[in-house]
Amino acid sequence: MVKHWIVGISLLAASSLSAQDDLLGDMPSEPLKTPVNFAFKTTRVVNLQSVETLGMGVFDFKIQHRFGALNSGASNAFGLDLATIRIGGEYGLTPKVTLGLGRSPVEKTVDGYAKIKWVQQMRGGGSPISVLTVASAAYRNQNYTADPSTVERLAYVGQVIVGRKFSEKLSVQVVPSVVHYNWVNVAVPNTQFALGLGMRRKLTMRSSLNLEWIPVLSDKGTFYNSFSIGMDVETGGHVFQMGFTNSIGLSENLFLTRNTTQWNNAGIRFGFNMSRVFTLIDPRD
Amino acid sequence: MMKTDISFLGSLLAVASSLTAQVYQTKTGNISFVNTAATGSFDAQNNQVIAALSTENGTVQFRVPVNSFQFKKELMQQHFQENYMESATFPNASFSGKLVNASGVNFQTPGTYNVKVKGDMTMHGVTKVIEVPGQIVVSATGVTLKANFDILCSDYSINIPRNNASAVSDKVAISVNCALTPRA
Repeated sequence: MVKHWIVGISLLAASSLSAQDDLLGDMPSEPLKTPVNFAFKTTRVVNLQSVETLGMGVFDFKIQHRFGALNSGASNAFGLDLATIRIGGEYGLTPKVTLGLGRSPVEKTVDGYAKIKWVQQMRGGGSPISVLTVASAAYRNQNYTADPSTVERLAYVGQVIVGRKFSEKLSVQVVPSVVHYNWVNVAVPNTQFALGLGMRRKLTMRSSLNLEWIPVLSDKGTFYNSFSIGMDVETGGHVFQMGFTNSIGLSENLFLTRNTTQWNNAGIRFGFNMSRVFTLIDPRD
Repeated sequence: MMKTDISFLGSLLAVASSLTAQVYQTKTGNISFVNTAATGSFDAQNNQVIAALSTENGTVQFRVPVNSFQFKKELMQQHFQENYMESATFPNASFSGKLVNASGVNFQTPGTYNVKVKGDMTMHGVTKVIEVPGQIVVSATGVTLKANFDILCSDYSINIPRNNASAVSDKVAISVNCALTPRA
């Protein structure tokens, strides 16, 4: 009989305890599926496009600067006397579509691109990777003795970016790329294939180490594969990316398959990207 | 025979107690904050707050998914998640406490009741006991919890680097507005 009283009382106690201790027990602990964001600090690894797109209504003013090669000699202050600068901007049309435009002095190139995020890496179910495409076109405005036509001056690049943020510290991406020049003024095929590989390793909350290697898989003539090592440093609204690369061209058609210097004999150059974002539209409106 | 009666009575009492212990809840509560520093202010909104209240003993609980705070600037949201809240490690902020004067609230009578809530606030992995004033608005459809109070980032080991101190203040004004409905 006492036993039954105990059962009764403990039932009561249990019911009030459960009400008191955890009202949220049967509610989801966090929204079930959330996007895995911020795999890279900016839309570039070093030269390569990263898996990041801009938020809707965000304008990113980008200045990319490369000095001359270290092996250009003491009279050029090991490259510091020389500079190649791409001035460009990107705009987030939607959270998944970013459009960009820029101009750089190598072959007087104006380049434009559309980057689209097709698949977003999710946590708590959904895709384990992000997949994007980049379609870019470059117009070479230089005076060539062969005087190519307007159409011949165009070059195109198509890229697929497959990336994954493995942890807060480590992000990796693979970027199969195809480059097509309507007209070539050097001894390489019009169409070439390359495989971009990029990674980021966060060092502190506000800095990271970035590596990038782009082996050309088809005939690359006398050109070299691009390799870059960079560091991202974030200061408020700016992200400052600095590093060393053997690429001088700053548009996709150039840095993928047109690298005239190599790491082996210090044909590398110091460079930096400066990224300043402006929010033109409040995403909450 | 007697034994059966007693255990029956016991379980009847248990059922009765769970009937009167009405629980109200929501998964779409709103919590916002404003940070006012020397060079300007910024704010963020969260509409995915999970909250529940038990009328039986005045227990109030909140769970706030940190990544659901929406900012005007995406970069701010990134900094908030990665540099300040470290949301990959601490995905939720939470509060678990009780109404200090629960008897002053009549959940059967619509009206606005001023209350105090005391309990454990956990954020960025740090738990602190807080007591804040708030309001309970009882209506025909449910119960709305409202509160405005300040917290200090430094109380929760959220470090603001010295060269960001002009843009981000240690004090954050928090505003709670969660409309709860009876649990089915």
